[in-house]
Amino acid sequence: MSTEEPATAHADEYRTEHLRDALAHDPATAELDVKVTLAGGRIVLTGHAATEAHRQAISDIARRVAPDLDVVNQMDLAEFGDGGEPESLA
Amino acid sequence: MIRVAAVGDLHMGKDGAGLLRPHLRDLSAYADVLLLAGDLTRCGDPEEASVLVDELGDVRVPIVAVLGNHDYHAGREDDLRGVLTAAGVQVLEGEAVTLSVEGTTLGIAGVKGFGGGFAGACGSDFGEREMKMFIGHTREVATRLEAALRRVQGAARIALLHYSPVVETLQGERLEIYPFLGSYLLAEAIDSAGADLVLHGHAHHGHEKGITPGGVHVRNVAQPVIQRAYRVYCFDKTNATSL
Repeated sequence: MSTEEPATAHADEYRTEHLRDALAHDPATAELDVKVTLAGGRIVLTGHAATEAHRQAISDIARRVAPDLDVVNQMDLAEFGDGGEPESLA
Repeated sequence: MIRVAAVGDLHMGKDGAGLLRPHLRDLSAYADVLLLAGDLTRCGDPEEASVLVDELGDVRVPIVAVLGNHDYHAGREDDLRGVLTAAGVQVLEGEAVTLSVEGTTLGIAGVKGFGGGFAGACGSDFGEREMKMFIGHTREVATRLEAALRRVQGAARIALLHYSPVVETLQGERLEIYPFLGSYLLAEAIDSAGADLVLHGHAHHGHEKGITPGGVHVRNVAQPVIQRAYRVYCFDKTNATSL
């Protein structure tokens, strides 16, 4: 990187990790498993959330950490159901 | 026939009431035991464990669990274990339990496990003290697992972990994080002592099915992988007793 290149050249990468770090350490989320993509001035969140409240908490922290960016939360809610077809192990 | 229901990575939060209970109500019709493969809670808060215990309230089969990394986050793993134990959940860490199931016996040895990586791309207990502690912890856990498997009695024997012993069940995860998802030392311990099945969680983007180098079935039952409240695995009693 030349000395003239702005220090923000890799800022997106750092901001993404800062957000992931906040999502892991904030007790409201304690979430290590959110994929964070920063593109076109938006933060896009993908992965699975256990509940709607949890998904909302993740969005709230993203907005707090990056108030200048739009937050698009595309996380899926966890699906539960019965055990389905059992697997026989020989 | 021994029927084992299993799930990991429930990550139960204080907002999780009602999430699981409806799906577990009839579990005893499909399974003889329920195994929980760690990350039972979101932050390791005993209040979250209390929510989980309520969700398990209708389960009428024995429940055996190991803790996961999330369950250690608050540094209150002993309190968390206390909440679970008081509710009748057997929590294993280097321990083993034998259950009577359908006229036969099922042995379960459990440890959390830890990371370190896999053959050709793993850490060594070399250099800085911190690195020695990291890999040293994995070696210690693997040793405890092997000892527990060797002493557990059962026509069928299961190793219950949170971290993965093999790479097959990690496929779908980024290669860069494999060393944080499991260790070959766990597989080596299992193959040395013998088992019929390994259950683990932790790798949310991984794959359900794998096998150890010694030929033991491995199943990643992380809830985001199985996309159900639990999965059921069956052992034919004849096969299981042939160990």
